[in-house]
Amino acid sequence: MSLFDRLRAQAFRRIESLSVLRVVRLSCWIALVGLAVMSASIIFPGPLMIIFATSVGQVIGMAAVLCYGLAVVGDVVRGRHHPPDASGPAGRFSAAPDADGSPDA
Amino acid sequence: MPHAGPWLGYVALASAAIAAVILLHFLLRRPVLDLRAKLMLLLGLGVFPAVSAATSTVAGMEQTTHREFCGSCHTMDDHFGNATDPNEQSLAARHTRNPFFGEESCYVCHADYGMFGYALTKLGGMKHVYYYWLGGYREMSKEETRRSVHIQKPYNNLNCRQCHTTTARVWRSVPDHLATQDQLAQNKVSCASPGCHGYAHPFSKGPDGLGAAPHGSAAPAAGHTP
Repeated sequence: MSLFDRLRAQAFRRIESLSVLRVVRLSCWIALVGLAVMSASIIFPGPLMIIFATSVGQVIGMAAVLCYGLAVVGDVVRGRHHPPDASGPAGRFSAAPDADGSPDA
Repeated sequence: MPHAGPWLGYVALASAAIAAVILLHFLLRRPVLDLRAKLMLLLGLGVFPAVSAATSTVAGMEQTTHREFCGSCHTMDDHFGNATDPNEQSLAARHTRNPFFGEESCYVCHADYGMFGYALTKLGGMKHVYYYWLGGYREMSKEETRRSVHIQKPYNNLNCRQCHTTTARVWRSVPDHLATQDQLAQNKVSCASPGCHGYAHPFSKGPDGLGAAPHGSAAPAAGHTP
């Protein structure tokens, strides 16, 4: 097995072990922070606020998108028919919710 | 930088609000992550935030060209006041009263022009922010800033020539213009100098042409204004 294959297998194992739902939620929280920063720069257009929004705000937004991309990759790597007991809750996302309406049950 | 107008800010805020509603719905209501939810997340995490980021950046950059933005630090209070005084006859004041670009007169007159002019101007602006917050200008009194704040490099006549092309008949009919034409082109003589059109902000110049003279010493160079 070549070094590339080993690295790829290791990356896939790591992605598979991620909780896709958790990564998506993390991505949502990060995106909300980024959106708040960008909105603040429009509402309070001071020098520091604009510099902060156009530098750190953009980095925060990129981090959110990267997290979402990671979740998408994680979802694709697992495939549609992975066993329900696979690590991470991704296999249960598309299942119908339980009687109490909780999709994570 | 083209005029984007305030609508760009509204687009940024509206996009951010729509994205926030989608994200909060996902976080609080916790819907099943089916295809519909994934597509909604694509909008909430990808499309609308991208629109918001792009428009807020352009709106922010546009905001940095406004006169009020330049005057938002106390070190620029006197320059801002001088430029916006309706009774003042300095170059800065007369240009600020121009309805075409008066709202952005600081930027229009002090921007670097050329291929990388916009980026270089913004880099120069970052220097101002550094000086203000970390270079001690924030703690200075107005009196101190009058003496120490001065233009970083000699004013480039090219900035004047963005509008005053020096080719119009009226300009060429002035003998002094023709006599100094080469020197003006080489920046050896400044349009905004005593004997020509005077300093743009005469209150800020001392007899040496740099900072304003402290109170009680030699008179400031206001008299240089023609």
